Amino acid sequence: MTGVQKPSRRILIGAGSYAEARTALRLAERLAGTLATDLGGMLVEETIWADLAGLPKQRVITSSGTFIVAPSRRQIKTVAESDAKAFRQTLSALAPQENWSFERRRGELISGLCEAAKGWDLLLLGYRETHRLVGQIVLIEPPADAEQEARVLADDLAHALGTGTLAMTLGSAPQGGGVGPPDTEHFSSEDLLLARIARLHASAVVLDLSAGPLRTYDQLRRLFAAARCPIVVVGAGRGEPSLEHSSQIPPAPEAAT
Amino acid sequence: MTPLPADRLRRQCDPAKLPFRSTDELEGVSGLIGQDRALDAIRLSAQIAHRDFNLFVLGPPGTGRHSAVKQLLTEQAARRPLPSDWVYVNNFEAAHKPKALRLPPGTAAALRREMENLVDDLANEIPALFESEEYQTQRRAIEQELGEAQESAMADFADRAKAEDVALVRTPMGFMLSAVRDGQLVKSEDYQKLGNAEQAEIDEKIERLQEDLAAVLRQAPKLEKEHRKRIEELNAAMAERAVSARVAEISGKLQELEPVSEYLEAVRQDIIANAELFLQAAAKKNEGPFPEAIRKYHKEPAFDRYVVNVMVSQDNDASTGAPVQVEDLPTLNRLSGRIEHISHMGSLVTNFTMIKPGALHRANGGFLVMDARRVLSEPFAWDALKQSLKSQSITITSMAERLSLVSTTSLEPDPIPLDVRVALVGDRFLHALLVLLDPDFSELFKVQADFDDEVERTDDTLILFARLVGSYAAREGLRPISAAGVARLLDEATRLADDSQKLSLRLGAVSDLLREADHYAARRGNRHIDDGDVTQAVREKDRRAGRIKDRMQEAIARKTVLIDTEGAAVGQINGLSVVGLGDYSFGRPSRITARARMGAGKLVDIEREVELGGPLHSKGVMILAGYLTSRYALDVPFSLHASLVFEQSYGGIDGDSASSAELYALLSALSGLPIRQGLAVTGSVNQTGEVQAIGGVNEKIEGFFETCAARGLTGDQGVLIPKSNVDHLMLRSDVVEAAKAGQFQVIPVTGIDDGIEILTGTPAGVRNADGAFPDGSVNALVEARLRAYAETRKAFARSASGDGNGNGNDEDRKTV
Repeated sequence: MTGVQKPSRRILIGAGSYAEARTALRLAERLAGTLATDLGGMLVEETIWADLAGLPKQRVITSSGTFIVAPSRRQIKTVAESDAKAFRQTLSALAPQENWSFERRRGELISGLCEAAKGWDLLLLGYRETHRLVGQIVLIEPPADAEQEARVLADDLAHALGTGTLAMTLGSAPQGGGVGPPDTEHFSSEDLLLARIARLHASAVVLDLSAGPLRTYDQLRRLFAAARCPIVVVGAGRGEPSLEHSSQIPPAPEAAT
Repeated sequence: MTPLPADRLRRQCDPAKLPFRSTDELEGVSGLIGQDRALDAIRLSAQIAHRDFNLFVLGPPGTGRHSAVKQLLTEQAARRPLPSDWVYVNNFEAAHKPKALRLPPGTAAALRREMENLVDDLANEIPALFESEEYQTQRRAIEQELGEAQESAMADFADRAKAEDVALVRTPMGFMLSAVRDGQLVKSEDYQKLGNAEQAEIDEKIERLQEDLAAVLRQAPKLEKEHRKRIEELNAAMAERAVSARVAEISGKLQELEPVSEYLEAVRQDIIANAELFLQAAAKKNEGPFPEAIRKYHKEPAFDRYVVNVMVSQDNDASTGAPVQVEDLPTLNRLSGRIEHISHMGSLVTNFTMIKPGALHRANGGFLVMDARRVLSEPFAWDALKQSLKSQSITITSMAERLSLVSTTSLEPDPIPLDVRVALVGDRFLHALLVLLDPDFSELFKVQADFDDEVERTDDTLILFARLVGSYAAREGLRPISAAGVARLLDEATRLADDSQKLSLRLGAVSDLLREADHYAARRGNRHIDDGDVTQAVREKDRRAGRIKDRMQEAIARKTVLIDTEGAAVGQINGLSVVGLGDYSFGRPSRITARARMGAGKLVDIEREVELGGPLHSKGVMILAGYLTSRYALDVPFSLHASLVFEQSYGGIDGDSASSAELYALLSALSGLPIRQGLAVTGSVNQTGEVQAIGGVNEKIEGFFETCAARGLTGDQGVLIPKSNVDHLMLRSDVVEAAKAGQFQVIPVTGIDDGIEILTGTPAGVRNADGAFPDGSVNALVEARLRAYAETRKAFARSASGDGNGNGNDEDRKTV
């Protein structure tokens, strides 16, 4: 028996709640099976929505379409504690041996996670699941001259989920009449790309933030909002200049040579 | 009356008259002799086609009932066609009601093999089909279509919200809508600062769009349901291609089996509906060193639902006809089958593969032979057998279920139609009880095969019997029997019959004797079984069983038990009784005494008074009282008070064979004439004084002979027997020899007068023309004594009346 031993990867799973983290954890489980990796978890408690809540007609709508009254700040704190505990437990059960770590932060999700992701190979951004149908893996294809790690990752993920990969390119049309490979779609603008993604049924979107075409946190934020599914980010820490490292999650060790 | 000549005491077969020197010269005989009536009954039951002509074979043990039944039924079974095979298969609609399938003989195993192969093949083919790119593409297309429908709805909503300056905000509990003003989300505190109109506008938009969002999210479960449905349809369509082709192959092979096609269609539909079973099985890793390709999927519990549980399968090649099943242990489970359970997670579970057949299943279409007593002694077995015969079907019910002892999952298998002829082998008593007590019995067992226990002793039957024992010896590997040995065996068969004109058909006892004789012949190094070997076998058997008899004779010899064998005594006589110990019996003398005095016509049977006498004994005593009252002193009141007793008898006594002896003792007591103590008496008496036949005459004579022989034979000793018992005499050789030497007598008597003359040496006397017995005769003395009692009683009554107390009169009024 022979086989190709894939390089070990360190994956950081980030989410704003346990419901979001769960989808990312499921993906991580599939990836852990092939990549034999260390796992990190980060729960980012976003404060903005607490400031938004309180309008008379405003309600929280659950994934099943039912209304609940927006919680008080005290309730929000309790929910956050509960989510952190569940996140931590699931992560520890998933991680091989003791190779896992967990951290809680407050602040904005995308920037918080991308900063914390420095030193991690992958950032897995969770999104609340609204149905259980398995969709495609969408790859935001990096430029041809960049590393193709995102492509490999997307294919692995698609194989693990028993689905296909749909590649999307952004920029000028490819040579040869503008028709790419059958599983590739080309977009001339980011808005068109996001509009297409918003209507796609995707199980995850994979992109390389360090290679582009999407590079900034804001672009990532818009992608996250449009895709409404987990995002697998390669080079999250290298997308925008980082200000600081996480105090609890150490940077990845230098690759051995 | 004169003693019988010695040649009347034992009928002996003369070896010289037998037309062979040894049984190895004889042609063998396999059947029975003298059982034509029973054998015809068995044939009738085996041949008749109508229901309920089941067979009850009755007769004494050792008459060859079992072997004859089995042999005859086997002969009849060979002429019948092979019965159907039966299998139980899963009922896919109601698993607790397995279906029974009738198949042509010899095809059940083929169906089972085909189903095993089907499962093994599909367990390889179905996963391959579902892994194919064709299937995966179709599945993805469905998921993509439905998924995009949901995503488009969400995207549309997001566009609408954005157009109305409303943003979708994620929260830990779900989604929330927030107003956007000047590109910024409106916080709660900012909202408070807005004017009423603007607040109202925001409220309206948020409320409306919330409803829209909820409606979109509520679509998700419906889409998932639609997805499941379409994937199931896709799976079914994919599975059907593989399953239908394979099932069609089996149908082609087994197309002549009509009931199978319906079952195979149900299997086809079930496999299509449950294709994931095959995917799950394939997903499990094969354990062990064998390659996946030869993995036996059909042995895995998940595929039990497709098992063919063979209940009965005939061997088509052997062509043995219908089955003849002998069930030696007919418990309920072994008779009508059972449903086994296994323990799973602490509870007992079962399924149709755990249904096991019983004797009724195996005998279906043929014959079932059982021992009646065993069937009746096994709880619920008799009820189950009757129920099956009545309903002509086999229903499996466990004892625990019937008694409601265990509460667990159970099955209700289809009853299997039953066409069986049951032969029960039992004894006559059991047959009589069943006829009397069980109304169903006569309905269900209409044929009785009554095995005789003896046959007429003629020249023909002697030869047949010789051939029969010769065949038995050859079959069992025993030595051939010499003519003398056969003659001795025939005599012993006559002795077993208790009748010199008969031969016993209890072949079991004869064969036991023969095998023991063979042992002695082997010890002597003899090539043949001789009369000496047979005689030794008889003697040793008696010796082995005779410990109690020896102790009783010893007690008499030491005068612990008082028996006189010489002299004469008034009112005392030697009676004879038989003691039975299982299959061994022996005779012994008992002293019977009678005492008489004036009284009120009462005859006291002391045995009865102390409840040691059985009803037949009491009847005998009452009969002799009737004889006395009707024969003597008819013109005066019967004024006797007499008592009768078996001396030193401490156990129960029954039978009327001592009633003549009791009457003799009473006549002696009344006449004052002594009775010869060297004689013993047996025989019952009727009210006219005739002496009637009794049983066990040989044992009784031999019992008294042994007592006399122990003290020395005088020539005056002997036994009075009823004349009607002379034909039953088959006495031991030593008794015959003593009689021949004039040392012991066997005297037949026909009436009481004959006997009393022999016992007292005084004529009994017959009434003359004036109605009186001759002076000095026994009867005259008896009558005179009874008349004297009456006179005395009359005088006593008169004197008592003169005294004025009236006691005597009162007693008369009560007792006369």
